[in-house]
Amino acid sequence: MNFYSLPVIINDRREMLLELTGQHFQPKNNSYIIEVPSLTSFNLFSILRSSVIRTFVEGSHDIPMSRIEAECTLNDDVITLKLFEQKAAPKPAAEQAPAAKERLSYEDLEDYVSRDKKPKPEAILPVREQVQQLGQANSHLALSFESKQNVVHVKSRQTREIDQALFDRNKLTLRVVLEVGEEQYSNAVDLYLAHPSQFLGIALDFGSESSQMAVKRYTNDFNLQERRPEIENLFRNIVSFHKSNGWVSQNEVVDFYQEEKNTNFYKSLFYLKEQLTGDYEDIDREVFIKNIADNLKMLVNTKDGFNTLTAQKFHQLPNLKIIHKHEDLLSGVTFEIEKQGYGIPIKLSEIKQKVYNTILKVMIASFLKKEFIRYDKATRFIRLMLLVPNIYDTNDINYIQHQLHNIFQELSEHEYKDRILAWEVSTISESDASFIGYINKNNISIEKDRDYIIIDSGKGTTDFSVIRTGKENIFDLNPVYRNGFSGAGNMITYAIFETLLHYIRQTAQTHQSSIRYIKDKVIRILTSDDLERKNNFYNELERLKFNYKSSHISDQVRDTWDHARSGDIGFRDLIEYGDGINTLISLLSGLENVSDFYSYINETCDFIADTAVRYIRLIKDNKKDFNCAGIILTGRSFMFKPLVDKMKQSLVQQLQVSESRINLLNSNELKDICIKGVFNNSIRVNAEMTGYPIQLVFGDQEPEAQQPKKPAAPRKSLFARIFNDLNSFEQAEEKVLAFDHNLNFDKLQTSQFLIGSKTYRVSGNDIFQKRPGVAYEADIEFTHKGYFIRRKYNGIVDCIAPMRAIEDTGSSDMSLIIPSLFPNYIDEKYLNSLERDDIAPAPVVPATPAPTPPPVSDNDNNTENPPSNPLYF
Amino acid sequence: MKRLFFLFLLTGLTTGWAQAQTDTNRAKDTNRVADSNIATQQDTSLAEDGEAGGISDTADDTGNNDSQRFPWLPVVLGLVAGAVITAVVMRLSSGKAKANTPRPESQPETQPIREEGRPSPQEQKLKRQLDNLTKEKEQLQQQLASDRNFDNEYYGEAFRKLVAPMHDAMERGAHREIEENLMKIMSHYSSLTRYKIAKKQPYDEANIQYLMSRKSPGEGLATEINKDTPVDKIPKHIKPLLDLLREQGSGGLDESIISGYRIRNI
Repeated sequence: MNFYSLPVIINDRREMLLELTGQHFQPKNNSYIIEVPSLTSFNLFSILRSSVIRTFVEGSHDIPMSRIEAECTLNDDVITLKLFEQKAAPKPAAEQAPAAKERLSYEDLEDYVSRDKKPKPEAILPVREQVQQLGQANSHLALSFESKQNVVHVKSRQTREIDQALFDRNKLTLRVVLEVGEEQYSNAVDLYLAHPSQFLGIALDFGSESSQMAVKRYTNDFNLQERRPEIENLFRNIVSFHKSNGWVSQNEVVDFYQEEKNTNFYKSLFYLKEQLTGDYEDIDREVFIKNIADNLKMLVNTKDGFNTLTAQKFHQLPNLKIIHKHEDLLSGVTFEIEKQGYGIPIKLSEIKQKVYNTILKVMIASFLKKEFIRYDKATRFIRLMLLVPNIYDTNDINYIQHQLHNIFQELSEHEYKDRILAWEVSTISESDASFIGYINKNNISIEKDRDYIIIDSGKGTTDFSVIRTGKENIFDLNPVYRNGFSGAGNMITYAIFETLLHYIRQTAQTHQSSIRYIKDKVIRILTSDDLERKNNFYNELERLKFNYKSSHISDQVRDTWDHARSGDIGFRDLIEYGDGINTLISLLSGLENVSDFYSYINETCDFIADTAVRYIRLIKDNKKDFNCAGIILTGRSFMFKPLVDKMKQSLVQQLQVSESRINLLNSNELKDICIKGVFNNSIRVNAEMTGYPIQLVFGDQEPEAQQPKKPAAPRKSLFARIFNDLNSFEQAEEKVLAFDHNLNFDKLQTSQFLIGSKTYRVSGNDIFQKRPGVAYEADIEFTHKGYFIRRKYNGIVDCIAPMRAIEDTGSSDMSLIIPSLFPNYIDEKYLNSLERDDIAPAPVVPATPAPTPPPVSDNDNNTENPPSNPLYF
Repeated sequence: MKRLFFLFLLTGLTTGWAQAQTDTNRAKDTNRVADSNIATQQDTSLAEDGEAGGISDTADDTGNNDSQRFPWLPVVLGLVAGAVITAVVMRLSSGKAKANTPRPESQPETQPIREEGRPSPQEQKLKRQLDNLTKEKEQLQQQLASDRNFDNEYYGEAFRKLVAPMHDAMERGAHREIEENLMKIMSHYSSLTRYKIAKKQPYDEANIQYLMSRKSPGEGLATEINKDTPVDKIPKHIKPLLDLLREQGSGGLDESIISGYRIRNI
């Protein structure tokens, strides 16, 4: 910890924190691609005067940019920007330091906090405005430096008409040096000035259900006009890539499960071989799967692919987003890497990231191969934007960015040496991208300096963001809060599944155990490798979901269920005379609608809506200037009307927003818009931060450890016992939104911090060692190494401590994870309709004339060798 | 006169008993399956009602199971017929004497005023009962005949298409045909069993129709599995049968449907 953190803006589109260190080293992966417009001047690098240089050097203080003088020089493609404090700037703190006073009580603390909010009087000299020509950046562009009252700029303008002739030089290194006393702190970024014809923007949405890619480029004619972003057919690219690599036969004309007909999407279905081959020098350090063709299947033909892979012991990888940090759920799935003839066992959690990296690499490489075949001899400066889920924390984002750099590094050194000249990678939250997509739409009115809430409920997860538009420019977007949780469309389908099982238990007239029947003849098939019947069953449930009827005609719908027949067999005789799941599928296919007979569906919708709104309410209740101008609902789950109704109801009741401000978007439209929207250079997003911290102050007693759920216990309500962090937040006696810089220091030890989707606490004890009578302040700051808490005394930072994420190692989320993985993963223990004991079966009728229950289709009765591991399709 | 009355009564009882015995024997002949059809009213077209030959829930509810234990219906018929004939004869023989007997005053309205050549209300009532029971008896006889026809036809065809080929295949030691026939027998016997106990699957009728060479069953009732069917589209409970058939070089099971799947041209 020995650096200053300087907020900078690259190319007017990307906010980031530049960490200025005492050592002189060139950090890796600090490249930015600047697409040069053909006519207008443009900013390369900016620092707002309103920003503050945060110190992470103990014994020093933060430096407002308003007190900074700047000088700039250009030497051999290196721009040096020197920042130093105004010489005559007085030190305001010493004489104004408050008299020492013991602050031992909560009331004192409150007084302190309110006083702290008053602006501190500071003697600020007006900055010296200057404009300076720095020289030529290359054959076409000149550089200039401007220091103004509100901003410091390094700019560029055309000195020669930009035509099809490429620039003679592209790279500029911008070195920032901060002088603090006798010390110098510095860092550098590489800026690549890309000729329009060389620029290639790629946006990749690696979705949990399906992935897509969009590309932006310029015309390579005399106009050099920016072309509209185009959606790539990712699936076709991957097929071509496989064929060109000989991974699938060139002449093979087959369909693949990964194809989503009539779309450009690629369905995210991946299979990994149990016995991995390949020469791994260091298993832990290798970041990619070796021998991709043998070990990782990204294309599975619909003819015999699934059965072939099953026979060869491939495992389908579950929804990577949902099981993020829950890999233990699949502890039964183990892999093995053979090294020196010896099998080294490796867990899914260990191999998952290698798989993820490899998939990303194939996706990117498959597109680039086409690009470089089509544009023979072309060279490219590439900017890649990866959409990431909100549940990714800083570490995840850093890691994925690092791996993307590795991918480009490898491609640029081997396959596309001298073709990929430079690259920039960045990430953006999916729900932020949705908002950008939304504001890119026509006929949308966005207000300045207002909060917007985006709720994106897909199949597996619900993500939400709170974004603040800029005071001056609506496109200066500040992420206030991002979070997400498992629970969306699949969970609703799961509720319909529960409804069905409950109905069977209640309706079937049998001497046999209905639970036994459900386990043996339904769940066993659904957890087997019987793809055909699993798909048929799941398709019927999905169809019923889309034909849901509300409760007021529940009786009518129930009547159709009561009279449903497959041949002579209804639900009443299903267990005694039915042909296992075959008859059940047949019965379902004859049903037109489903309704919420037992409240499973309502409770699920309540849960999704309530959870999302309760999280957002944390912001609403604690962010003093919270001013919601609109709420955007997007995602496939909102095609389910009861969820839309519940969500609107919760938002209106709990956030007190007018229903007219809630906008429901067509998810298919937005999926397209959001990925194209990320190319909008007018929008400035800080994509690295996952959100601002919220301090949750608990009583002297630490919040009770979350009790692992015992889902096997009978429950009255499906989600009555669901534990999540929201429940513990309810125990907090005080909640403080930490970006208001008013942390409750005295309660730090009994505080937790909600940042994005994770909860943190202060690590170490040093920061709690106080000198009596000293009034400390504290704030939490984001760095590339994570979040840190800084303790300050009279403005001087005297202690810095890291924030450690509180790992949720319990099974508390399983009740959410498992329904969200449905139907790819089913665990009987988490089926409320089976576990509860308050379902009264219908009275058993006297024995029928039939001599014995008919042994129809004894195939489902074969309980020998049930598949031990869950499979996913 | 009393002798005459006794004679008539005996005649009626004897007729009823004889009828009952006949029905009982038939019932035994057609076994329990035929018996169970007693409540099914229309059996002329399998395709129309789908219940012919099977027990409906109504049959259980109306208590017709009793008829399986003792043939009460013919006995009752006989009794009623005897009683009616006896009553008519008694009335005719004692009419004149009774006409001279003063009627008790206490029952002037209850005694039917018998007009010359017209039956009394009691006679009319009994006659209606007789007509109804006769009709019912005719229907049951038709039902029985229909069931017999069905059984004769079904089992005749089953013998020709399933049993005889099976015997023949066994004699010849033809593994492929033995296996095919075993599966066909399983398929058709399963369908027939479910059909007879009124628990048929949607495709069971198609199997029966096919065996009896009646109209071709609807295509929508079964999913076809042939050599072009992707492996991934074959459900796991059908695959073992398919593997066995392929091991023997079989072409499939023609129109026979197993668990909703028609295996042919494999």
